[in-house]
Amino acid sequence: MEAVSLTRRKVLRDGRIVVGGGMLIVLALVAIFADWLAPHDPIEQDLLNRFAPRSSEFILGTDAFGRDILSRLIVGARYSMLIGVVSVAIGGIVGGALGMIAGYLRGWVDVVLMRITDALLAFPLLLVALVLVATLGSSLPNLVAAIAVAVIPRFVRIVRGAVIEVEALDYVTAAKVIGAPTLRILRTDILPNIASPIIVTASFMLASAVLVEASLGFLGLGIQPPTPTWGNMINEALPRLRLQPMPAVYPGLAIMLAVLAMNLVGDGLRDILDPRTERAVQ
Amino acid sequence: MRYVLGRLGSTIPTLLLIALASFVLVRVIPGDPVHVMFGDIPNPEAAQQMRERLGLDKPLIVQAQIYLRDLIKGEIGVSIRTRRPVLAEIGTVFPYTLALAVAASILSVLIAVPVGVYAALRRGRFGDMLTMALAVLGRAMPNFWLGILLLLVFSLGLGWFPAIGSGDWSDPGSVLQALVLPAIALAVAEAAFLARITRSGLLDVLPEDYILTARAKGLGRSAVLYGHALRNALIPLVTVVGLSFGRLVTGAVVVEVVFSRPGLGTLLVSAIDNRDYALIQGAILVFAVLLVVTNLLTDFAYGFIDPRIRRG
Repeated sequence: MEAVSLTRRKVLRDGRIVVGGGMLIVLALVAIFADWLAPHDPIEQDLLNRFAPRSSEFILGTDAFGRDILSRLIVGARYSMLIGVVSVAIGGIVGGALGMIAGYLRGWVDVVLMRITDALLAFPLLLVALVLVATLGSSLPNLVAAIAVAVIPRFVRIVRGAVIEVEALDYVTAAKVIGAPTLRILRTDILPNIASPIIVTASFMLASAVLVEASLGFLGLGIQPPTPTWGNMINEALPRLRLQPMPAVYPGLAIMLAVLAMNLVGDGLRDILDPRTERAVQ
Repeated sequence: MRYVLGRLGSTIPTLLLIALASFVLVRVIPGDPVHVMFGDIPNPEAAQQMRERLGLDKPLIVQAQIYLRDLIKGEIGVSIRTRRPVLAEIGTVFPYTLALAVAASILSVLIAVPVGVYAALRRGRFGDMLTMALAVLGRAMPNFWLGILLLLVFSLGLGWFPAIGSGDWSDPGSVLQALVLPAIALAVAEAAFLARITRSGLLDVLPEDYILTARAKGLGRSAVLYGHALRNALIPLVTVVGLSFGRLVTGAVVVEVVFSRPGLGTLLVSAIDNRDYALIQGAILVFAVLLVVTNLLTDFAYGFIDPRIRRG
């Protein structure tokens, strides 16, 4: 308990975590309450109001179809957050489980799993997700699945390393000696002690997942218009960039702030919880 | 030498796995390629003929055998749409992507190393905090969005650089000029990341005994920094740059679209639109081989610089 409250105090005193975490809370609230917060319908076209300038009615102006940009950004936040959080959660659970299996069982299971993991790690997240979405098609579940698959090997590697370290500790040996079942050792003795690297990895992976989703959307491979996502908004703004740059600028700003917040939290948590993972994550 | 052969040997299963994966993936793409080629006009006879010509009527196992056999011979098929060999299609655009990725890679190292060294030497002071804050910002910026901003300011606004295309090879100056903005857009996030690695690499090395020894024997600050500290601090950077090159090649896919540059990315995106099986497969294979080769070279470079790796 002593250690927990100490960590909590450190977290609350870290400027990066407070600022980044605050931004993330706002973003999460915006995503959850998007339907109430959006001042206009994000999809309905209003061709008399194309490229309306900033005004009290359209705070960030309107796009090529007369749709309110702010409302589209607000609804777009929902997709970014949803896809990011769910894909990292799935990737973390599956990757974490595989990493624990590899690290605890060792032997041929470990060899086979790590061979595959290392082969996949050679490929950037975006490439893996791009190839999968290109083949599966770009529906919401497919996007989540593609990003989750891309994220899995990152978790496998981190978790396996952490398990091997913890497994050598005396209390795990003690648990084995008294004949505790493997699953219980994994759950009660190992999992709580490898939580730190998992949390740190998850916050960085969340940032990467949001970037990947935005990139896919920009390439036209994400959620399809007219449903707004930050990535496809920029894609749609590209042909009229010369005369109307702002519809492309705002969504990029949103992506940057979201990714920034996630990285700030990740940086802060890493320094407090797990100073060694810097290189391993990337 | 044993190290080199061992690493070479271990890439063969990886390459086979990739070849097989790309085959399987492409077969599960929804939509019939023949259907896409002929549009929605139903002409069952012609469609069936085409399927036979492309071998798409055979069982999957047979298709896989044919695919692997051709692959070993270096034939990876014909683009379903343009009817040109896939290798030729890729060969035409590949130099553009490679040039962009290499330029961005060099640029990112050129920015990152001085910035990282500066930050490490100013540790905890204003200069360190400012550069590292900028690095956090740079890492969060989507490369395609940065590309758009650069395009707006320097091409459409100031007119210093062309807004689209890749220049003309007969005029090397125009090629370089067209490369500047995309390379910056691609390099910034990587540079931000590498600067942090350089900084922490240097900070790891500075307290080492051999630095103290070098100072104690009377070497000057800069001699110790460049001769001893930096050389060791950059070892981790080599691996990271290798991995970062893979990200840059992938990132080039996205940035190419912003600047309407020809390249592997634009090719892949249009191949996906056209359900051009052979072309998608080929592009994925080229990506994969490029990444595997890069990793291999990185490992060799690492072993070369740091003899401890070869022995371990």
